Amino acid sequence: MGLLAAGIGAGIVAVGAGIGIGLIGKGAVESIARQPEASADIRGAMILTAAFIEGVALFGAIICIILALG
Amino acid sequence: MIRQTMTNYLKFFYTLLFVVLLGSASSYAADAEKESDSPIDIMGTVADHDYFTFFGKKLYLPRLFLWENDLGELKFSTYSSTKKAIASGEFIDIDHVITPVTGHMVIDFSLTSHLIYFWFGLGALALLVMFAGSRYKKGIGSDTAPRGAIQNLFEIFYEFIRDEVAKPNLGDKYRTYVPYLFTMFMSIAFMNSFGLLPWAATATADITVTAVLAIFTFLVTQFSGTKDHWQHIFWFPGVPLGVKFLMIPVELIGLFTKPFALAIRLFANMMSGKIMIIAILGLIFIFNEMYGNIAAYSVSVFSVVITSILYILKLLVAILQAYIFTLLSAVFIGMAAEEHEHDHKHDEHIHADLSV
Amino acid sequence: MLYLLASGGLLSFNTGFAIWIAISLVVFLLIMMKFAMPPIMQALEGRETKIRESLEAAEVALAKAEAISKDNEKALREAESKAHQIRKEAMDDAERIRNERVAKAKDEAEQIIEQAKADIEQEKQSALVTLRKEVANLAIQSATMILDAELDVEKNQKLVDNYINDLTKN
Repeated sequence: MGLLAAGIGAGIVAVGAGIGIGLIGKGAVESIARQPEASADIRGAMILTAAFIEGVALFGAIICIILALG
Repeated sequence: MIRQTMTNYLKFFYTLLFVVLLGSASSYAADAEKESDSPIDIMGTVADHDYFTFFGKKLYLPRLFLWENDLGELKFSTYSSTKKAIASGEFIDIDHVITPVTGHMVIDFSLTSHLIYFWFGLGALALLVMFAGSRYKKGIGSDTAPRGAIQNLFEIFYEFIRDEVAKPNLGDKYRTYVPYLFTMFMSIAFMNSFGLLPWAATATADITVTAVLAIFTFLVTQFSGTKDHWQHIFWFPGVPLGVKFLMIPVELIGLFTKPFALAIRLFANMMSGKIMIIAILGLIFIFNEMYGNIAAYSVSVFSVVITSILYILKLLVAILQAYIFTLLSAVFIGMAAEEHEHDHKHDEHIHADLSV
Repeated sequence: MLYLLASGGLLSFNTGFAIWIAISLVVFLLIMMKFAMPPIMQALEGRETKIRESLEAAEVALAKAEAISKDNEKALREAESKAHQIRKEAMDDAERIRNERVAKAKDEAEQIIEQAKADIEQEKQSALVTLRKEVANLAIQSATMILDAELDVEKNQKLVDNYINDLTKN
């Protein structure tokens, strides 16, 4: 049961993080297309925000690991 | 010409990566075979150990125990390795945890592989700083332009932390925090990068290490907090009385979630990278056991390619996570050390500055 | 295989290990903050201020040089215009002098011509007078010769004069 919960949880976490990072990528690409001269700044901000989302996703992943191991 | 040499270097790098990865995969498998039924030991690669691998040899680390025996006496015992501890008859191994035969363990002070790699990280930074310091003392870099790759690299990182992390977030008081932020950034980056070596352990893939690092940031934040910072926690300005009481627990929780998130983010990122690589390389051995040699060979092509790509990603993540940890530390410290606009002292400060 | 943290798996907090890390981090941070970083920070800041100052000094010098060159240009332009003016004045003077000279010369020439004309006229008059006298004399002589003292000189003179006057009138 714990393993099942962990698997489903990890899947949902991946979906959420995927949507989040996808939105960031969309925004960044659109901004770069609009303002190619600011692409360096936009890329930095994009990577940083993506890392934040990744952090949130990993919180979920940790919970899943706890469920799977416990 | 330059392009040619660059591609040559890249080729060399990739070949090296392949060789190293194949070697490490076989060593993981060899480890696992001895100790468990599973063809590959995923958790063992991220867990802390009582030994430290040095050129393929296991060097067992000393164990230090603070424990209490039946009579209630505190005892401090040291052994050169786990085997010696067990051989002494005072300790036994229960499910891989060393426990005293009689009484109980108070604190286990044993040196571990993660501690050794933590020290390696600090040591690498110390060497770098000492080298740069001697250069600046000689006048290279202070009177003339910096010379050599190491000094230039040092300056890139130092100026990055000072100008991109400290200055925008900490305002005028940034000078005090630059050494702290630089030390944090560089030591975390070094620890993360050491984790890229196949035989090494990643110290930052240990929740204890990241928790201590986050606690340090938490303490620095609280000690540099202004009156305003505390006022915002215990007596939120500008809201009705009832809301003030409501805000206290919210702000208190916020106070502790920040370092908690900091610790978990770094830990989870470093650990997941390591687990992912082991899992993908482990596919080779799982296929070997389940479907035989040929399947394993064909899977290994896929696995090694994916692993090399993951390695490049991990290199990026290693630096990026160090940067994020440092940046968030700077943001939190800046938020606490900031003096708000409605603060009268602040206004006087500005006037004083203007009058000077 | 021996996990030190086996009781809680990957996510357990190990107090002894944490104490080790805290101690080493405190010591390291103190060394970094007290001894290692300040000289480096000072060196780098010193270099940056030096670079900034020299840049500023260069800018000031550049501005000065520009001002000087602008002054020079101004002076040059002034000198040029002055020279132009002087040349123009000189040319005007020359023109004026030349005109004066020419006018003077013309006047003189005219004067001389008039003088000459007057002289000529005078000469002519005197020549005419002399000629008249001579003619009269000749006439008288010839008449005397012809008449041979038939008439006195005075009456003849008067006669001839009248005749000549008539002649000149006609």
